[in-house]
Amino acid sequence: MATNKKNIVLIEDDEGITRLIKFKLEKEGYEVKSFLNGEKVIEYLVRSKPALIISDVMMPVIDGLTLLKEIKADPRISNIPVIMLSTHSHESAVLECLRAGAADYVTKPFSTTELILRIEKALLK
Amino acid sequence: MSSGYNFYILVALFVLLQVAYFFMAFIFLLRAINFFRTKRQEKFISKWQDQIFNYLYSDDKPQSLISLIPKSKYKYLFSYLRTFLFNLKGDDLDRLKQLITETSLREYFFNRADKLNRKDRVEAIYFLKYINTEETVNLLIKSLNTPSELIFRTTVESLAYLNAYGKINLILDVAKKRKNLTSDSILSMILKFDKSICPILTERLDTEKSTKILLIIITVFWHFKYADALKKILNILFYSGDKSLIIESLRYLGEVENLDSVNALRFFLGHSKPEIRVAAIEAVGKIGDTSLEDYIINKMLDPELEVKIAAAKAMYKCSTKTEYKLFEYAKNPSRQIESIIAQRIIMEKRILEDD
Amino acid sequence: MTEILKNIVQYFNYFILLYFLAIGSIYILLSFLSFFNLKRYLNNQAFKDLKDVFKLKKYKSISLIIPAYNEEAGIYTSILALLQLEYPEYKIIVVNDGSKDQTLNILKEKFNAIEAPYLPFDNIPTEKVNSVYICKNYKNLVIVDKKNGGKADAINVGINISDSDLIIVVDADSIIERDSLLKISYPFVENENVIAVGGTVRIANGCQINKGYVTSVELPKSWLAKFQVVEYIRAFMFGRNGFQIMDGILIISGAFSCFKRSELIKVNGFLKNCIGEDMEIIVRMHRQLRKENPQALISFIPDPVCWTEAPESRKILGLQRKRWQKGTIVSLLLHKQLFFNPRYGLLGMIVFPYFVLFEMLGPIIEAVGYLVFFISLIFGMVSLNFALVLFSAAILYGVVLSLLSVIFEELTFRRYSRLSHLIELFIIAVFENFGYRQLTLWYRFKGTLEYFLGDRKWGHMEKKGFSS
Repeated sequence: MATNKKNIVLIEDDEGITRLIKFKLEKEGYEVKSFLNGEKVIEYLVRSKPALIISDVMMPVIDGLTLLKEIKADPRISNIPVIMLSTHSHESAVLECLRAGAADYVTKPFSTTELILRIEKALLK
Repeated sequence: MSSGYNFYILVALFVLLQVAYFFMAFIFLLRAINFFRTKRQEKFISKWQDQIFNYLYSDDKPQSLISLIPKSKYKYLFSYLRTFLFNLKGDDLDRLKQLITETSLREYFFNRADKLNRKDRVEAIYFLKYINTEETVNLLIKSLNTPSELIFRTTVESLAYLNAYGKINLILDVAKKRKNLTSDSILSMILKFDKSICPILTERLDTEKSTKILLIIITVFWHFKYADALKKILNILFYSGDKSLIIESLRYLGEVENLDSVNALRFFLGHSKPEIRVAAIEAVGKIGDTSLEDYIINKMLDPELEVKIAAAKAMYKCSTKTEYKLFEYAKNPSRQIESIIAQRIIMEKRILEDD
Repeated sequence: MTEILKNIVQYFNYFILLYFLAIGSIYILLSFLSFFNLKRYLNNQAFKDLKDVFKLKKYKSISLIIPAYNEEAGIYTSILALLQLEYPEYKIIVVNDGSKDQTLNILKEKFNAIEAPYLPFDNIPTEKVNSVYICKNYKNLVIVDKKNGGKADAINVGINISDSDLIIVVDADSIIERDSLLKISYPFVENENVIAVGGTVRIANGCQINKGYVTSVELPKSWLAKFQVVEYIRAFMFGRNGFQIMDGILIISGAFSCFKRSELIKVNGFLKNCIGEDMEIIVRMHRQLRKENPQALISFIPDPVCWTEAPESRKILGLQRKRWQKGTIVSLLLHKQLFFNPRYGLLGMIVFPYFVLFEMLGPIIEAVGYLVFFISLIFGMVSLNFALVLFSAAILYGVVLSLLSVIFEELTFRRYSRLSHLIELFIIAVFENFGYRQLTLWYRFKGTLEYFLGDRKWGHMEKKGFSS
């Protein structure tokens, strides 16, 4: 399966944060495609086969956890690592993401340095 | 009714018509103002965003960025900064903070913190929390005596962010005098401090008379799992007759999980008020102490439903013996209510844990 | 003889004129009060970080209670959307009130429900609960099936089963904004004397709705619904905001309301078989709980937190308005002790009498007023000129008020974002005064008559349900 090593899909509903993450990742040489919520993301993922997915947990229409479960249930894309971004360090939410197959998670407030490290770690696996 | 009134009503009609026109024009004006404001905001972001981001990941001097941005655009800058100040931490946040601490913005906020305009003042106080100096704290202390609840709240939250824990007594003294501040409200402000307020509050327990403040302090200890206050809390538990204080203290005992509290818990398990029994049972369940397991098992036979439910919940996690007993209750048809409670609790917990 | 009759009619006309002047001045007063309330709210909101609640260990736990009767069309999407709200921890309790359709089966299937023993924490008397289900994949979802007993009864079952600090009652077809829980629970954190909070409701017709979320706010196509958009803005902007400043919130919309659970238990839950159970509970809470704790407070947040489907046919609108009118009358009559009772402060001395005079009796007075004025016109007691001028003044006044509420919306939440919306809102504000207002007055009049003639039935309202 040919995945593009430097392609990342970002799903996050806050535009400011999206722009910041995009800026930082592009600086590091990644290519980022962003979505405001989980809708229509699956189709795109199947088509573009990115190397990694970063998704917020709380989003309107289709939330992060549902999206994560859909990704993991779809054999065409289930192997793509997913890093979850969550607003709260609530144990239950974090555990649920990890149980559902998330590669890692980052809680807000976050630092982009930390995010990059986690991305690199997830890509190594 | 004579048509003599016609004239007056005609005048009224005319006035109303003018008002209607005026209102329509006014709404369009508002819409236009807003339209241009959003446009300017967007323009600001598209113009400055990359420079701000570039600054974040470079070694540029913060002032060199700030001096480029005209004062008239500060409004947009601040609302933009707020998102990131709230969502970032670590290096990114430090770099962002420098935009305020090491630039002309510093003076700007200092000057506005005692302005008369409430909006400007709140904004300045809100941002001052990023400038960690003695001077800021002193300035903020002055704002505590404001009549405005909003300014008071923002000030306390800024002091909390600055970790000015030495001022906690002062804050509580002022808060006590403000009659319309409720304990939940005070609590939500001071919980923004970190654990370092706890030793000071422990000392305050000796002299504090107000139940409201005592309640707040115990909740703070509970929040931070602050075990060093245990002795004093046990004291309050036995010498205060106040129901809410007792319940809050029991909750605290459950949270700090110290075996010294076992005697107190055993005593309150037999208290006459059901709410207090519930609190005691919950605390025992959290500590999971085996010396009290028989007491908890017996609490299933308490006359009050809420006590039975609390007992069942505690039994599930307390020890293997209590867990076994819970299953026994569940299977015992002669005790119908207890059996239903036990079944339900087991089921809920299993579903929550199982995966 | 005719002289006397003429005199009576004359004086009655004066009375009606006075009545309209009074109501006009009250609205002006209310709009001033509302303006200050809105300003205060927005100022307080500006530097508050609602999401801070996620960082705290101490927050109020919430149960959302959704009474469902024949809701098979939209229930699944509604619940899915409700499962995604922003709040640290909350429970959803769906109470199937003996639906005759597939509501229960849909819920059971879609959410993999498992039957669990029924365990109430309190004992407000209700109809029999058949079964309780919990769900494996949605751990905060509880489904209850009970014998049909009406909305109030269903809510009471939910209250019994919940063990949260706060209870939020949501209509199955309401669309809730994602941060509503954060916003509506805030007044309870700020002030422990708050016992109930309501929020602003808006009309969802015409809006783009995706999986239970309003993704783009639009105006409805149907004129009947358009009028209701402006009517809702006006009612919430003026009415609730104005009364809020007098601590006199007498109505909280049943589509989305939040209560302290302990206080609901104290008043023994919602009143069964009562036409306007959502208004009745508020009036009763005022009456009983303020006696115990004079500082007890019912509050209102001006934020639009909830979107609801407005009836688009005259028949259903008529049923709805008649029901509202009967509900108002029941609630006011049940608690008439509040009328001019100084113990309840401004609520007893101003708000309650206002409701009795203008909301309860208003339709009768106005309708009779129109009739008598018409008679005087026929018998030449007032000139046609005078009648026309007066009529235009009344209409124009209505237009001005509606415009003012649009101004308030423009100053505050600006949900109708396009320029074309604004122009359309103007047109609606003008045209609603020709027909729509009279139509709703007619329904309210009929409702009042029916009530006093003994017809106190609910009047069932059919709903289309949103397509996902």
